[in-house]
Formats: sequence, C-alpha cells, structure tokens
Amino acid sequence: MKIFVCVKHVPDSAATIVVRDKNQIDDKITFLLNPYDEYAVTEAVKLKKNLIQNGASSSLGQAQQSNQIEIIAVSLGTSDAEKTVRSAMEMGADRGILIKTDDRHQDSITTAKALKAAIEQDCSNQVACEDQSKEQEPAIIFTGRESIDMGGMQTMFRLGAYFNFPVVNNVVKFAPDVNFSVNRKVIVETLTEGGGRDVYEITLPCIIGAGRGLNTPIYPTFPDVVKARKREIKILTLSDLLKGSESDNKGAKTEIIDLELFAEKRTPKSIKGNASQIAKEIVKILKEEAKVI
Amino acid sequence: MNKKYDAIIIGAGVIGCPIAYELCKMGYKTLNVDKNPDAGEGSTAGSCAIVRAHYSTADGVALAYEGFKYWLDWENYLDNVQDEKGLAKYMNTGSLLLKSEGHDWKKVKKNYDEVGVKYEEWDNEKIKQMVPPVDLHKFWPVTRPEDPKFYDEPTEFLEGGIFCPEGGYMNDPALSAHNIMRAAEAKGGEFMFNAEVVDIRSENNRVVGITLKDGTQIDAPIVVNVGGPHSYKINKMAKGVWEGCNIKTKALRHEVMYCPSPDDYDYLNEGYHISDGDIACYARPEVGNTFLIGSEDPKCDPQEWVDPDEFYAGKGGPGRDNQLTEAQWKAQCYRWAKRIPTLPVPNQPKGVVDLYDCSDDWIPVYDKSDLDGFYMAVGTSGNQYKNAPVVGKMMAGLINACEKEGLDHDKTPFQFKYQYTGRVMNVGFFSRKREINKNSSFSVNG
Repeated sequence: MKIFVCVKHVPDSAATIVVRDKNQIDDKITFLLNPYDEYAVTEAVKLKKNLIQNGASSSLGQAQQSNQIEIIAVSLGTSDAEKTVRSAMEMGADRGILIKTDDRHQDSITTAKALKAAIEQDCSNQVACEDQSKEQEPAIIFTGRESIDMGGMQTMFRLGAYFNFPVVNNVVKFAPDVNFSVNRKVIVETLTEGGGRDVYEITLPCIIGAGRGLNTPIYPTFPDVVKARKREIKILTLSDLLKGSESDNKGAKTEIIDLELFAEKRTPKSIKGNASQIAKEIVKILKEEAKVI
Repeated sequence: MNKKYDAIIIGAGVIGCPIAYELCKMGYKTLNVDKNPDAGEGSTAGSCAIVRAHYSTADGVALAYEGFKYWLDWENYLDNVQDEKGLAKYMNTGSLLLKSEGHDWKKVKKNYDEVGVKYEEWDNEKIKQMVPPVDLHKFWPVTRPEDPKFYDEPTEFLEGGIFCPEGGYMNDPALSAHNIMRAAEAKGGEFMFNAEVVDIRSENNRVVGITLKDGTQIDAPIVVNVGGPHSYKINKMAKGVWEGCNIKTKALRHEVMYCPSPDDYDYLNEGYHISDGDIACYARPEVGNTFLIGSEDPKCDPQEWVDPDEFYAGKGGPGRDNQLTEAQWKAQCYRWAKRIPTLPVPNQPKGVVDLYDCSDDWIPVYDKSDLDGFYMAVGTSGNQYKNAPVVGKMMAGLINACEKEGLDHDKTPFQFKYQYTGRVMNVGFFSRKREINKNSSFSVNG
C-alpha cells in the first residue's frame, strides 16, 4: 500500500520577503516544508502506524506489514527543495521523490500534472521490478490544505481530477473506518466556512488536504534525522517527466506579471486598567475579535 | 543654553542603567540617553540572562559569583523600588558544566576553589538521574551538520560534570534593566529615549558633552560609553578614544534557538542551566517548556561581524540581519538533539538573533579612556549580563575615584572591593590598554 504525501518548499513565514525584478521574491531566505504539509506528513505516519497496529492479528506479521505500507514524499521544486523532501522523511516518510525544475514558480496545473506523473511512474516502476501483487495506484495521497506562498488551494483538486479520485480539503479529523481492511473506507471531517464541520465517508483511493488542527506535527529527533539520511530521494526532472506525454505543459502555465507585498496595516492599541480589567479585555478580544476562544 | 548633567551615560541597557543607579546614589546628576524606546530594549533584550559562575579566569569567576548575590537579593538591590511593569525574577535552577574537551573545566574548578564557589562533582550516573533524557556520549570534536562526521556514531562517554547549585537565569532581561532604571530614577537619574548620539564633544582633551541626531547638545564633564554593539561607533566619535584602545570591540551576530522539550520532560520546572563544551552549546529553560539553546562559538561555525545599524534595520542581508538562518538553526538544535535524543526539532526556526559587543579577547573593557572624563563599559562579548549590577557599582567607583580623588587609573589601577564576597578586584584587569588575555576562552564563556 502506497501512501503519497505531496510537499512544497516554501519561504519561512517569519522571513522578510523582498520583491526582486518586479515578479520574483529574493530567494536568499529560509525555505522550508510548507506548514500545512507538516500535518499531511504527520497524518500519513499516523495512518501507517494505525494500519500496522490494527492489522497485527492478520496473517502478516507487523514487520512485513510495515514493509508493505510505504509513505513516499513527493515534491516539485528547485534543487534546494530536496531539503524539504528530507524534512518529510525525517518526520517519517520512507522515501522521497523530487521533481526538479529550475523555475521556482510553478502553477497548480503544472504541479498537479507533474505530481501525477511522478506518482504513476513510481507505482508502475515498483510493480514492474518488485512485486506483482502490489497495487498499481496510490492508496491515498495527502497534501496540505494550501501552500503558504501561493495560497491557491487548487493543486489537490487538479490532482484529484487528473487521477479521477475524490478530494476532501481542509480536513481536521481523519480515521480509517473500523472495517478498513474490508471496505477500504476512511472517515474524514472538514472545517467549512463559518466554523461548520462536514463529515465524509470516502473509499480509497482518495486525496486528503490536511488542515490546521488535524494533528500535532511530529517533529524529528536526532535519531530520526540520522535514519532519514540513509533513505533514498529519487531525483526526476520536470522536463523529462512531462516530455511527449499528454501532460506536457505547453500552454498550461500561468505567469506572474507583478508581485506586490501585502502589508497589512497594523493598528496596535494599548489596554489600560488594573490586572483584572486588562485580563477581562484580553479575553473579550480573543472571543469577539480574534474568535479563537 | 545646553542642559547640563554631572554624567551622561550612553545606553540604557542592563549595564548602562546600574552605572546610572550607582552614580546617583553617590550624588551625581545623571542622564542616560538611548536610541531605543525604553530601557533594556537593545541587545539586553536578546540576552539569555544566564547567571552562572564558570569563567576561564579567577577574576571572571569572582565577578560572576559576586553578581549572583545581587540577583538573589534583587528587591533590596533596587531599594524596593516600584516598577509598573513588575519585577524581573531570578530563577535559581542550578548550573551544570559538563566536563569535556570543549571547556577547560579543570581550570574552572581551580577558579571555583580559589573564589569559594559552592559546587558538587557529578558522575554520569548522577547526571542521568538528575537529567533523565540526557545522552552522555562524547561527541567531540564539534562539527556542523553539513559535515558527514557530524553523524558519526559516538563510542566514548563524558566524564561527569560540575554542578553549581547557585546559578540560573533572570526571566526577563529587558525588564531587569527597566527595574534598574526605575531604581535610578528614584535616586534622581533621568532617562532620554529615542535619542541617538552622533557626536561626543570635547575641549582641551576633556569631554564636554554629546550631540544628538536632532542637533540637541547636552553637556557633562563625564560621558560613559555603554552603547552595547554600537560601542565601537561611540568610541570613534570621541577624540583619540578608539586609537587609544589596545583592545577593540566590534559587533558579532549571534543566534539563540527555542526548541520544545520532549513531552515527558518538564525542563521548565526540573531542568538546569547546562553548559556543554562537548557540543559547544548551552541551554536554559524557557517558558512553554522549551530549551533556549545558545552556541559557544565553536571554530567550525562562521562568525558574522556586522554593522549594528544595518543589522537592527534588517538591511544587512542574509546571514547579517536580524533573522534566524536555517543552517545555524540546524547546527545548534541538532547538536543539542544529540545530547537530548528525544528532543523534537521543528522545521521552522524559532529564536532570537542579536549582537554581541565583542572584544578582541571576549573579556570586557571597563575602563577610562585617553580622553579625560570619557569612560567605557564595553566589549561585553555576550557574557556580562550576569555581572551587570556589580559592574554598575565598579564603574561608578572607578569614575568617582578618577574624577573626585584624582586617581590615575592607568598607572595605579582602581581596586574595587566586592560587597558580598569581600574579594578585592584589580579593575586594571579590564583595561583597554591590556594585551589580549590568552587565558580567555575566546568565546561567550569569557
């Protein structure tokens, strides 16, 4: 069973973004794993553990099951995106695929086509050279809800359309059905506009867009880092991957003409009074304005 | 008509404020000027505010041990002044120095004996008992994660550590400076903020005052440079002062990381300040049960000397401005994660970037200058926060001895008697004219 996690190499949200040449950002800043993708990787790892634990009573031993459930992190990005694939592996992905491109900006159409091609290639390669009994399509594909740089929230839907898989985005709760080994269903809960929640029952294969709160990301320890160093990252190139196929990206690419910094105006205000009054005011703001409690 | 004071102190950080406080107590009418909006908002705010006694010289140990007593008696030191922001709090966690090749711990132990610092020797079993998640393998020499050797399997173990029950940290360094400012104000001291000094005026080799960026001139026969990372720029403004220093200062960029403690370890309430020369890191607890991880400046790490004005304006560029770098985040966190193998290291760097006012030998300059009336408390090199109240008293004593008693400090160095330990400090140790002190660790350890 193959669990894919699509990850993106994005600027650190704490970085100072500087626009260069009108339509690019100065990339001499820290880039890292898209924060929403951290939830995706973590959920993939949790799913794998869950399936191994709950499948322990079946004819396969845990070790064998562990080998048969594989998490593969896939990313489209420039060569430094390898660090982000490695981060996903440090968090628990078994191996990684980097689809290399020289152009940092790739739109959701190209990205989804490239991810699909890489995932399909990985599934067919494995089947060809290893075990015919293995599945030829991904069981599940996790992505983040969106990338924090483009914020387009499109790639997972395009990927779903290309694969013809159902897609659920902004997922905040995820669990395999109790009869998963028989019906291959998962139960997911999404956060909707206005704070509502929808619950879906989906049959695999499917695409899950992880939202904030789905889990607490599992950050790697040093032994995890060491372990991940020994694992493989396969490097593909975007041009090779899409060459000659119907997924060739001619005409599909959007272009960034102009980039402007969105500087939200900050309006700090001071809260006055004694400690009790200040505390009350803070609680009121958190409830009524920030709506976080 | 220019306003006049007995002494102007440039800087209102954790050392500028106590100098003012002590001078005020002696009857001086003082003014602190600072380009920041409030006391302690410069590099003081970025300090880890660690209070520990281990230094590479006996004088360094003695000064730190004396300083510890001030933090312990904080309210009395402040003469019970009220601060609307509240009082900073001393957290006495105890301080563990791991015995390693990265520290000359035998020298530290000798210095402890000489000064009378209380300590216990802990073997590895005891350390493991007191710090359960620790891995006491020897990882020396210090390398960077980019180096494949960083991942070599360790085979040997460290040989225990030296634990000082008297040590810890102040929970809010900026607030501690603010507290001292309020104490100084209660004694008549004045403070001026958002005020940038652009000139030190002098006549006949005697300082006469300062000029601010807006053209305001303020006069005083005594001016003290406590400009932190800007100290070298201030020294250059005063005629002959920079040239008269054998020990120079410059601004060094430094990153400190926040990394969450493993879930099953309450580092905030049960942890110690730890100095670990084997991996060139130090750590102390921070709110949110996190490790605050600093670097002991190993030779393999790059040193970024920066212009402080560009740095604080965020104009220095990658690796030179005030944002964490991923490479250093990994270097420090992974080093610490070797020592604490269950430490989770987030992908996003979190921490503090600030500047050391670094001297040539990482030992401060507390001295007069070649310009009469111009003094300096500079070159604190990231290791003087803990000494700040004592330094305030020592500098005030030095200034008073030179100005009121006619002492020629360069010929007959001022002798300062510590209030708590009774030890006499030869302040000439901190002279600007000294040769580079070869006993120094040439790191934040001082």
